Amino acid sequence: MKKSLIPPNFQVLITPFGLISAMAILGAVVYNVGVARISQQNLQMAQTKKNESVLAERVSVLQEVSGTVTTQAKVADAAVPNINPGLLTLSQLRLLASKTSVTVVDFGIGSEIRDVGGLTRVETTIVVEGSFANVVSFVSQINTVAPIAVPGKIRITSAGALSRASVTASSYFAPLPTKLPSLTEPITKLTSAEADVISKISLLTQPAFLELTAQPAAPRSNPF
Amino acid sequence: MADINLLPTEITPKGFMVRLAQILRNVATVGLAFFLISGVGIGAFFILTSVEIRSSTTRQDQLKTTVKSLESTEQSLILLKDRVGKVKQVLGADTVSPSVQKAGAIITSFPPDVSPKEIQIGDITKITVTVSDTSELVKFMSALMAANKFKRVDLKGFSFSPTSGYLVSIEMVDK
Repeated sequence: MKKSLIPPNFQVLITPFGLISAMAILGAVVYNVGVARISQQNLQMAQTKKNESVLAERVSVLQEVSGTVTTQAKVADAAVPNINPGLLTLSQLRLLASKTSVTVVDFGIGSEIRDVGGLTRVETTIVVEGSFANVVSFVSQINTVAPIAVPGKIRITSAGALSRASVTASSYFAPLPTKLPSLTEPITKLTSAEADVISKISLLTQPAFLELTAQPAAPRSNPF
Repeated sequence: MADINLLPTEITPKGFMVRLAQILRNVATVGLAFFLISGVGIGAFFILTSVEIRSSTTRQDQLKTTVKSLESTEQSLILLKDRVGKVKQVLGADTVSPSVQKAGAIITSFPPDVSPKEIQIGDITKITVTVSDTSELVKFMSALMAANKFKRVDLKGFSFSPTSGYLVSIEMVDK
């Protein structure tokens, strides 16, 4: 019988040691790869769930406000428009003058002044005459028109039955937002403070626009 | 019957080595079982999460289609929020309107013999009136004090003319 080089005491341990070593190496490899993959899968899962929840929230908010938001946006846009509101403010103040039975004797629109927070300001000056009560009524209603006219200096003088008010009011405009938030960004519904502001500006007298429809060309009469 | 081992004693492993080998083999078996169970568990986890991720992605696609169909509403909402922010700024800059309302409440309730001459409304409200007699002047001043609408009321001028009566200038600082 050929004698083995490995002593029998060690020979008996080779197989179990080999098995344990192979399992340890395999385990280490699987652990390293597996842990990384599991955490990656978990992250992906969490991100997917978050995106889904953000989208579901967005759909819910949009469906909730869809009935009213367009009208409210028009009202808010009229309060602070995106173009110079000088002429519109003047028109509104002239209409207010007519409503309060005072006569506009002078008016002027200043140049654009850069204000804070992306706003630009335009000063409109108007001078009205009438009875004292009517002039006071006109002055006290200046802040009830859209675009919002913020009164600056007001001076009322009276001589006999005739009173005269000189008012400088600022109206503001700002460019419209140019992009929508990305789909993964959450969108919130209106807060109660924002709803208060909307209900306040809904009471403002909106400018009346007349939409002219295109007319077909009339046949020319023969001049000969 | 007794066990008979015919192997030479020099090639037979010692008893404790055989027991150690047996223990190690058992450890390896338990480890293998644990390894297989863990593998099955991890595999199941991957399958389940992949299915969940796939179904979540499908739901997201459906939600994105709904959001797309509500794009005009979304635009209006973004515009509304932007404008409301601007309106807040504008209304915050309006410091004169409250003074107009307060001064309006006072000047519309002038007694009949109190004639306004000049009114300036701003951060400080200045009122100049003519009053025919002192009793009307007292009524006017009492009404002004009772209104309690201004933080401070200063009498800035007081003169008398036999033709027009008393000329009173008052300066009021808003609360």
